[in-house]
Amino acid sequence: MIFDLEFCSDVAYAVPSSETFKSNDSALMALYDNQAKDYFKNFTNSLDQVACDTTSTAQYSLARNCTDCSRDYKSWLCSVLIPRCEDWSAKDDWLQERNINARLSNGSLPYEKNMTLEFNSTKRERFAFTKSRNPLIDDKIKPGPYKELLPCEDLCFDIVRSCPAQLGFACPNSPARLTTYGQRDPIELKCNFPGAVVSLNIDRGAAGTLTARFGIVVLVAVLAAAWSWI
Amino acid sequence: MQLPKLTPLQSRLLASAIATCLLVTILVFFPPHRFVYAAEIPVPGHVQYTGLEESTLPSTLLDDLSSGGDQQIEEERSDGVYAPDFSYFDRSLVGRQQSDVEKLNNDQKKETDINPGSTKNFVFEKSQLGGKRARSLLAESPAVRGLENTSGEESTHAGVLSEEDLAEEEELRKRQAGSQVWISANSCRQPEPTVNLITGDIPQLTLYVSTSSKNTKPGPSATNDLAHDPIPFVGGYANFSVQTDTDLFIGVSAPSLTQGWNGSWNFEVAASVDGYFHRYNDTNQFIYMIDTDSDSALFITYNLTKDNNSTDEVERWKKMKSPFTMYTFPNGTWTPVTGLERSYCGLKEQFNTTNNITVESSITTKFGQGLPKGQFHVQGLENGKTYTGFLAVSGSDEDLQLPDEGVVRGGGQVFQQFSWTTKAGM
Repeated sequence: MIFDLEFCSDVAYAVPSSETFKSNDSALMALYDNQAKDYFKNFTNSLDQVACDTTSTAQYSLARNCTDCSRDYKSWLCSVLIPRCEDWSAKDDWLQERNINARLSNGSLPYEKNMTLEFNSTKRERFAFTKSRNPLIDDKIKPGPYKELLPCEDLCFDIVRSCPAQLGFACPNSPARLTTYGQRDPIELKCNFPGAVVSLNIDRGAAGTLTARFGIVVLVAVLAAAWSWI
Repeated sequence: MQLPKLTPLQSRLLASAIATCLLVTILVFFPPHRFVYAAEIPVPGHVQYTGLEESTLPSTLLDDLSSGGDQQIEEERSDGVYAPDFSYFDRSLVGRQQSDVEKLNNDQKKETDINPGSTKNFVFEKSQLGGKRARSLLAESPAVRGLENTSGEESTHAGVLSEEDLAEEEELRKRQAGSQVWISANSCRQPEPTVNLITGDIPQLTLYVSTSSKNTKPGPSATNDLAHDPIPFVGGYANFSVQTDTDLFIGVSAPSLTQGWNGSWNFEVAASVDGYFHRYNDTNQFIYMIDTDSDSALFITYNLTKDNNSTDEVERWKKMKSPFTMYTFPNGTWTPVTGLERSYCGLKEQFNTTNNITVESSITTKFGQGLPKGQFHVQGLENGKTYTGFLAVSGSDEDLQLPDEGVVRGGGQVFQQFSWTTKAGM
């Protein structure tokens, strides 16, 4: 788990790692952070071609400026380059499997018994499942199979909104969107974004609101019945 | 020789003159100081008859004198209250010897050991309710200073006093109609189990509170006139608040140990007129988990201030050494803190002695809105295990204000426990 990075300062979660980096957190952090800095430098060069400090008629948008674009791009970049990972044994259905052809730490292969054609076409031969989104992870870090908590789709929408059209940003539609972005959920953490936290009494909170809503529905029904009866 | 003949008047004159001379002679030769002997009975130094500057003397003495007799004079072992100690009388003849009642001061805790099956008693005196009121009573009753001498005269003096000062006393009593006292206690150490399988609940201490003078040592053998039913400690924490204008008597008792437990307790108790000294929050954990991996975890507390615009407040928090700390223990049916989950001193002691989990705590302004919050990096965990955590704030002499939480005072505050599981690392 890494946090307090120099560039991607909002990143604070568990990331894919491996035996070589298990006791060397700072090397892992440097690896991710430097890559993010490089990509961001390229982006800044592109953004510099756009007129930012001009009259309102010449700006690319009245609702957003270059600072917004830069900030939103940084959030998106850090969330995509540095994926948030969960255990392979995690069972939540909103997690995206990655790297399924690699070996687990106990030497076994995931899905090694499943050699059907259907499985091959849906998972085993698709890059979304066999590779990480960031090639650096597969090249330098070489983690085993893991499940990724996908970045929230509004991170992508934000850069489309904030950045000038000439940069050509666009967000994928399904089916690609399913394997690249997750959707926000008001109660539980189902997608990753900078500053995400886990509320520790999450189960009790959800049940509480459910029972409250149910109670109100029952009450309204009873009142309605009484009213109609009268 | 012939005696001169005297008239009756002359003879009377002669007789009185002779008697007068005789008396004068006696006066000259036998001075009065040879016959009269009056001396002061030697008195031990600590009894202050003239120590009326202390605050509690007038009211307690007045009450006792008006009811008559010196057997009812209260004998707390403390300065400023009249404690009879006649050198010719044994203490046991004069009154009850209260040897083991400790005095509690406002906002100061008392820490003590207690053996199973025994009771420790404390008293929170009326003077601690706000010494100003008692002192004003003294200043307005000058006649009280006449109480210096032997007991015979005291009752008459009391009679005179009560008539003169009755109106003043009444008025002052109305003002003292009761102030709120908050009592709190924490168990710091508890008996340990001697068997591996624990079947019952860990025995807990019990708190007894009495505001009536009929029960000055409340405990399991004296349960009359209590202010409330006996209050058992839950998770090593007990609290109670009561409105009173008299001395407050507190008893903490330890049960006898059943089979399988060995040791004794050590606890802290405090009483205050400003608020609970030790605090526990049952409804809120005040903490979020950021994430965990197979051997570490990161947590942050809620925002420590709500004011976005006050940079002074934010700077103050950033410079402060974090008063927060997080205590973590592996989950299980028996952990070293089972039975002490709500006690700040208990958690602190047990954390130091177990395992090699380290917690780095600091104040950060990341994770949203630039507001300061506490951050904890817990390391040294094992993969795939469930841990229980407790957020605690250490107490200090200065009160610490937390948003929506009230004020943390000298005894510290513990929040509701939480648990999480580390990743399996697979």
